Parts: sequence; C-alpha cells; structure tokens
Amino acid sequence: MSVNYTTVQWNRQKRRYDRIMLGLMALYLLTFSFLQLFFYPLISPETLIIRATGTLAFIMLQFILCIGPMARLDRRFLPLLYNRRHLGVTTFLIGALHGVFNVIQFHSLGYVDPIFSVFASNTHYASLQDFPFQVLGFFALLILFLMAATSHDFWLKNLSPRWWKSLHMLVYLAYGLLVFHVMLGVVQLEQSPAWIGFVGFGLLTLVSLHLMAAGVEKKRLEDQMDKPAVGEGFYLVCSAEDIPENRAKMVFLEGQNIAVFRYEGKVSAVNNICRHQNGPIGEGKIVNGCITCPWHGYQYLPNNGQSPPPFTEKLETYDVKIVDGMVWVNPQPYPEGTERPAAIIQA
Amino acid sequence: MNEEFYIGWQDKAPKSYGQWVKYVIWTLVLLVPIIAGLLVLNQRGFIASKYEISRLRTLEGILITEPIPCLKIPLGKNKIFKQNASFWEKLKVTLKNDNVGVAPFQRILLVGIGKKSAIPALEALAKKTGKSLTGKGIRLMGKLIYYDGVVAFELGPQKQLFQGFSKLKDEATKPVQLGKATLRGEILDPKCYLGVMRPGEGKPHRSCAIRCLAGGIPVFFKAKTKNGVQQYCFVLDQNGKPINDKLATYVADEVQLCGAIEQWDNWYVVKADEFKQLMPYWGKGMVMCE
Amino acid sequence: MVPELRKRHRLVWQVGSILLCLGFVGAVWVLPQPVPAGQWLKSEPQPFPKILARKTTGNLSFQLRQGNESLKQIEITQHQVMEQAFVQVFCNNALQGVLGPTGVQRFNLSDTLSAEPPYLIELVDGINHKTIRQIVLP
Repeated sequence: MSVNYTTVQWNRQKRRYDRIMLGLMALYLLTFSFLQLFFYPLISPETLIIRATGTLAFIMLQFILCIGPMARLDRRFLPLLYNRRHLGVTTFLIGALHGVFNVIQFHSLGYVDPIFSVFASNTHYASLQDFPFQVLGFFALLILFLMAATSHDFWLKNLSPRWWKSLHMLVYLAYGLLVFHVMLGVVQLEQSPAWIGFVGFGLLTLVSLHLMAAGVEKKRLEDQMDKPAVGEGFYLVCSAEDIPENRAKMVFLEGQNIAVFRYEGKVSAVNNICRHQNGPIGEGKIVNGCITCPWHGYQYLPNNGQSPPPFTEKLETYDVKIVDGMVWVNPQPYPEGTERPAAIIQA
Repeated sequence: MNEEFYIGWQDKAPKSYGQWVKYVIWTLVLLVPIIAGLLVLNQRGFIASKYEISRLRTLEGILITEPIPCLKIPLGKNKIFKQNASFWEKLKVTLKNDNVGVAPFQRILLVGIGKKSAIPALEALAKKTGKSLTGKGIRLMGKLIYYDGVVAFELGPQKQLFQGFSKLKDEATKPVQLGKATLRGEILDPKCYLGVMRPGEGKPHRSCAIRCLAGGIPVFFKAKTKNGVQQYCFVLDQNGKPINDKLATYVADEVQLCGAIEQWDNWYVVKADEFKQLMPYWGKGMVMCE
Repeated sequence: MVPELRKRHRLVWQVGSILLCLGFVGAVWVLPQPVPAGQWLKSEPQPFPKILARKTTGNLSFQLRQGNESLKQIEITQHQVMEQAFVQVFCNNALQGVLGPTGVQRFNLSDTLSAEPPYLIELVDGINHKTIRQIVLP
C-alpha cells in the first residue's frame, strides 16, 4: 500500500525474498560456469555467457509461471507470490543480457544494422525447421521489457488493475515464444534428450498446474454462483455460523462480487476485488480490525471499505442483515468507502 | 489454516508458511545445481578451433585476390628444409630432389575484420601503395584462425596491415582435377567455424554465418564422407565465381552439392552446379548426382 | 482475481496448452537427422600393401609401408585435431607435405629416399617452425 510512490517499498520479507532469489541465481550461474569450464574447457566466453543467461532466464520464467497456480492450489505458496514482481524484473534483466550478447555476437560487425539483421538474416519465416528463432526471442524479450517497465504500482494505478493485468497476461505469450525460441534454436543443435526433456518437462508442469488451478477455480466460482433465495432485494447467502470468525464467505449476486466478513459478533459486506491488483479480498482475513488481502496485504475497514489512514484505497459496500441466524445481502453497491451498519449476530 | 494468515509486509511469516517456504527453498537449492549439471553435461561439446584474438602476426606469401582471397605461403626451395637444418642436410635434399610431388604452396584464406571479406581492405591497400598486389610477394599483419589443417588469417587494422613487399615469386600451379562428386554436409562460413566462434556451426549460428557470407567471406563446406571422416572445401559456382548469394539460404542445413572437385595446393574447391537441401523426413530420394 | 479474468486465463491455457504441445512435437519432428555420407575425391595415394613398421605417439599413428620395387610410403593417422595451424611432414629432412584434416594421410617417398632407412619423421609447426614430433621408422 502506498501513499507516495517510491521505487521499492522495502520490508524484511522483500529483502529476504530478494536475497534468496539472488543467492539461487548465483548458485546456478556459478555451478553452470564451473561445470562448463571443467567439462568443456573449449567453450568460448561468449557462448558460456549466452548459454548461462539464456538457460537461467528460461528457468526463472518457468518458475514464475508456476507461482500463480501453485498459490491458488495451496495457500502456503503465497509468500512466493508476494514479491513475484522482483523475480519478473530480474528475469527480464537476465534475458536482456542474453539478448544483447546474442545481437553483438551474431549480428554486429557486418554490413547491416544489428537489429535489422535479427529479422533479415534468416528469412525462412515459412519453414518450421528453419524458422528464425531469434525473432521469437526478440519479441519475448520485448514483452518482458514492457512488463518490467510497468511493474511498478504507479502503472498499476494509472493503467487501472484491469488493463495492467491484461498487459501482464502477455507473459503467457512470452513463454510460448520462448519455448519455440529454445526448441527451434539451441535444441536443434544440441538435440540431447536432456535438453528436450528439460523444455518438455517444464511445459508439462506449467500446463498441468494451470489446468488444475483452472479446474479448482471453476468449481469455486460455481459454488459462489449458487442461486440463493430472494426477498425485498436481499439474497440469502448462508448461515452466520458458516462463516469462520475473521474470515469471509464469497458470493456472486447480480454481477457483484461480494465478500461477507464475520468479526466481533457482526457481519459486513464489501466488494471482493482488492483495489491493488484485483486480488480476492474474500480469501483474506481480518487482522487488527482490518480486512487484509491475501496477496499483498492491502487493508480495508469492514464497516466502510476504506483503507486505514493515511492510505486511500476504497471498496464498495453493501447492506447486510441477519434474520434467524441467516445472513442476507443486498447486491446494490454503495459508492466506494460508504459507511454501512454491520449486522449483529444474535447470541 | 484459519488461525494462520500470511501478510507480506509483516516482519515474520506464520510458522506453517515459513516452514513450507523453507522446504521450497531447500528443494530449489538442491534442484538448481542438478538442472545446471543436466544441461551442461548433455551438450555435444565444442571443437578445438583456435582464434589468436590477442596475437598479431606477420605472414609472408603471395597474395591472391580472386576468386578466393588468400595468401600462398611457399613450401618451395627456401622453405622445404627444416629451419635448423645444416648446410649439408640442405644440400643433400636439394641434390637428391626428395620433394618431388609436394605441393609448392600452403594456402591461407584471408578474411576481413568482423563479418566482412578481405577484399575491401586489400583494395584499399592497393590504392595506398599505388600498385596492384595480386600475384605479388607481400607481408601482412593479422590474426590466425585455424582448425583441423585449414587456416584463415584475419587482416589486421588498416594502419598495421601492410608490412612491406617480399621477394617471393609466384609459381602458377595448375589445379588438379579430381572429377565430379556428390557431397553431403553443411554450408558454413569459414571464419566462425575455424575459430572465431564456438560453436561456429548449426542452427543457432545460422544468422551469423549468413551475415559473414553476405559480407563476402567465401562459402565453406564441411562434407561428411564414409567412416564419419570430415573433409572441407570451398564452394564456387560452376564458372569458378563466388556463389554466396545462392548458398547463404542453405547455411546450417544439411545440403547435397554436386560439382567438380579441384585441388588448389592444399585446398579442395568444388564448383557446384547443383545443390539442394536434404529434408529431415526423407525415406527415399537420396539420389546421387549424375 | 475477477471471474472474467479467471475465464480468460482458463481459455488461454486450454488453447495454449494444445498449441504449445503441438508446436513442441513439431519442433522435435524437425530435428536434423544424421546425413548419409556423400562422396569425396582425394588425391590421396593408395596404401602400399606391406606394412614394415608401426608406431603410435600421442594422437598420431605412423606406419611404414612398402610397395612394388621397394618403394616406401609413410602413412600417418591423426586421431585428433592437431593444435598447430598447419603441420609440415619431413622425412630425413626432406619436406613430404602438409598434414590435412583428421584421418589417414599417405606420403609416397621418392626412390632415393626409399632406399635410405631408417626414416626420421619430423612434424614441424609450419607457422612457428618448431619440431613438434619426431619418430624414427626402421
């Protein structure tokens, strides 16, 4: 959550996250380089750098793409999600190093501009076997650049979470381009089952995780979209006892995505979409009197949907009532930040 | 799980989350070197090609500019002896004529700096000296590139390139006609393959090789012969002229060339009159040239 | 994440998985296959029938062969690429030729040289003019 924009809002978890990330990257690069120089001392320095950075960037991207579905399948992976953007930006930087070395090594010192050469040297665009795989890498890097450049909350706010998220979904296209960049590039030379298996296993893992998470989410959504009974504009949601203390029940009513929280013997209803990155507020918890989003810890007061001062994010609120221990919600939203009385749970 | 809730900006994660993340980290610590090892140990390896990148040398020989620029280093009378052979040893060899049949020259391909032919630099040198240099004995400074008995020489910077004329005299040697053959293998650019890049072949290197051939560096061919032995040759068209524009598109592909093979001193040159790409999904159709 | 976004993710991965898997298989399908050997024409002498001596040193094997009329032939097999740019082959101080690519190479000795065993074979670095290998064949 931010009042003013700072480059990075550092905290202890982010520092640890980055330290571990850099440590693992160093471990990979050192192991890779040491093994290369030990077993293949004839490798040229440029090839070593290109392969080390290329493989590292690809591995990091695959890992990043696993985090989303893993966090949906098991909440214990949420700490990996928290600072994922640092991972993404670093992946872009490693990929950029790989790209720059490639352009210098393979396209410079000729008679044409190096960037033009990337597109114009190999023009077998109609052939799978001879496809100019470097062009695929170029566009993948461009997408990663756009994502890295807009990774800051400034862009999230100004592009709106919806458009920002749409832009960042291009990571899937980047991944696809990179799979082909690797398979139609270095794997055509190396051809070893290990390299093919490495790409194939990564692809299979990502596809499986995403399809599993999609299946689970579809089921959750269907549960939230049950058609409840209606009365005087209110919809029956559930029994108050069904909502765990300090947790929420999520429900879809008339196109509204609503989270009904129970706390301190009361129930309040707010919009289920976090103003930060559209995270599911309803999967969060009330901590120290504030609804806390499970993704990045953004907070809102349950009675009015406002972030505690000095923060300014706000959620829509809804009327809620309890009749005979059953919770009813009116899906007509009040403007963001409107105070609405909580419904008291009778003993 | 209802009791524990992860909030990123808090100093410490709840116990179950923290424990789980530790397992993930340790798994990654084990997996990362394994993946690195898996990738490294399953490479096909690199050839022992050499590029003397930090050593400028002077070579003396007869300059040839067409169709393939090269320096002919004579293995003739003055050089057929070992360097420290005694007078009597040299006399004995000369009188006995024990070198009959030895090719008189070792050809060394000349290439320019970067992905360029040697021709522009040689033309500039000819202009500077005011003389035609073709067929003349000359000393040039540059860097050696070599692998498996084939040598190239990257010309040095213009200021240091010309090291003077030499008294060497050219001896016209007729190419030896070896007949027509069907060659199969890979089109390469000699500069990268012989030492400047490792690997200087294959699909990842394709764009670079195309750049080099487009820059005028002669077309080089690595032919696969029986018993897996590799042979190398330069490729010209059937009229003996450079064929870069036609063959650049086949770089890094498996190719079949048909043409007459000639031996020019230590080089093999094929004058290709037919060429085609060998597709990966062949079964039949691998027909030899007529 | 809003439901609409979830649906979009689901669609992307349902379609993407199929495309990626097909593409992956396609890329494996077009991996270069080994090329059948072609022809090669060389001005290499045919091997003389009788082997008189053999020696191996490092990555080189030497054979002394004898043909008709007591003519001799030196056969050198390079098992690995030489480290030098080019290597001159001397026999009893007379240049016989230059080593080519890895494989077998033969040098026919002149009749006068053939008549003067033993044969001191020296391999000399053609650029640096240093002897790199010396063997004697009886």
